[in-house]
Amino acid sequence: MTQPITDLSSVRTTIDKANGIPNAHYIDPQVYEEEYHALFSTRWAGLAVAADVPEPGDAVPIDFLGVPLLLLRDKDGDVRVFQNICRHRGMILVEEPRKIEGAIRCPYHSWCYSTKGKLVSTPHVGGPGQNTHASIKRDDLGLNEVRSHIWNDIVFVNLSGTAEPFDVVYADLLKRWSEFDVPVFHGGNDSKFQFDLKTNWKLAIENYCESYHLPWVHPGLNSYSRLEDHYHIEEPGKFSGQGTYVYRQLEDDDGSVFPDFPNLSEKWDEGGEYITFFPNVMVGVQRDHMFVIVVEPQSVERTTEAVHLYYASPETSQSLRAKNASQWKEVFAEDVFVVEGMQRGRHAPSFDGGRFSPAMDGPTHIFHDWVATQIETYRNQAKAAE
Amino acid sequence: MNDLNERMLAAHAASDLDVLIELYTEAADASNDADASCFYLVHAYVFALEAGASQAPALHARLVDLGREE
Repeated sequence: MTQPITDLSSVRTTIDKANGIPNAHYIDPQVYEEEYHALFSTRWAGLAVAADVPEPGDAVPIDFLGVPLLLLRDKDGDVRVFQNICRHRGMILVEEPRKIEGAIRCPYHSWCYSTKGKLVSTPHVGGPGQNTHASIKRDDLGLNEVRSHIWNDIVFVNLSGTAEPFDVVYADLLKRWSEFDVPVFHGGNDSKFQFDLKTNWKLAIENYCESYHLPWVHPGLNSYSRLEDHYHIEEPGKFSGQGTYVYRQLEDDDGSVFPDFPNLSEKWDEGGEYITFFPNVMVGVQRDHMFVIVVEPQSVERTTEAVHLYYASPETSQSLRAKNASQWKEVFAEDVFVVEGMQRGRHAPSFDGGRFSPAMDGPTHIFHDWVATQIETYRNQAKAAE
Repeated sequence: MNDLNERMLAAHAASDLDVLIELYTEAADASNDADASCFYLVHAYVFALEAGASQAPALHARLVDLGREE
């Protein structure tokens, strides 16, 4: 029987005694591979946003933890995710983001697929000039579609197809934010930006979990949103994050503000909440806008953050959107040295995962406990299958 | 046909689907051999499918009539 790669027992205990996740989970490719199975492929994970494919026929290839996927808006406007390979020889179908005008034609032998994934032609498959063969059943050879679910424009996928339904897995979080289950409108090209980070993906999530660092890392934010104005959001085994009691609407030079999402309760007059859909989607909600950060692991020590800003109306002030995007970009950029610095720190051999502040690090510990629990469950299932 | 070949190569080099559809249809129509004609017709149809071109249904119908497509 194989031994577990790492010992997570010190993670799965009470916060006053717990250590953080061990170094290997941040620097070891073997553990990264295990996390792909335990935390991503068998669960729901964020892939992209539907706004990445705004028009029918828009297609974006995405290498998602090494798996070639194709995000596509079909001719009827539905967003779908396929494995980006031909069913014939496994050739990559779409290399660059582009518009599919008619069919997806494999560049190798030109098998053609509709935007709904149906195999529509198999040229010369029965010999030159003959597109049919008795053994080629087109109905059985459509593109492999990946199970997906869209919540507030965020495209989640479950690669294995075995996870519980999205609405079940995230039921408590969706209930908490039910007031934000409303139409949201991407701000467009001026409302998205990206960070390429020299860090393991988990450190981005961990930093997002807690408000402890705000006064030190974000002094500008702290000038009006102090540490004591924040609260922890802690749902062990489910989600975690932080909230503020003093969200202040951004004003344009003429004093105008963004329109509010409809029918919000008083809680949101000055409230804002910042929660991670475990494993990798960080979302912030406020009365007048929502932001989404899809955290995409590129390798064990490389991560991309794709940031998108959403509003309550498709018509918002361009100058105010630009101001808002600039403000958030500045805040998120202030976190870069932290997540990259912690990553470098994970190469110190004697680091034991660190000790938490029981008063301030609860949300981070909940994320660690969730990670450790999923990995141990995966290991137990693998052991049972031996 | 040599001139047609030259034009085909140029259209391939330019990835000009509209022209490829026309040229492969022209080649199919010009061929007296059924298999050779269908070979070209298949290419015209595939490029029409890829482009979402208006010729696709008619090309499909021709291939179906010839027993070459579903």
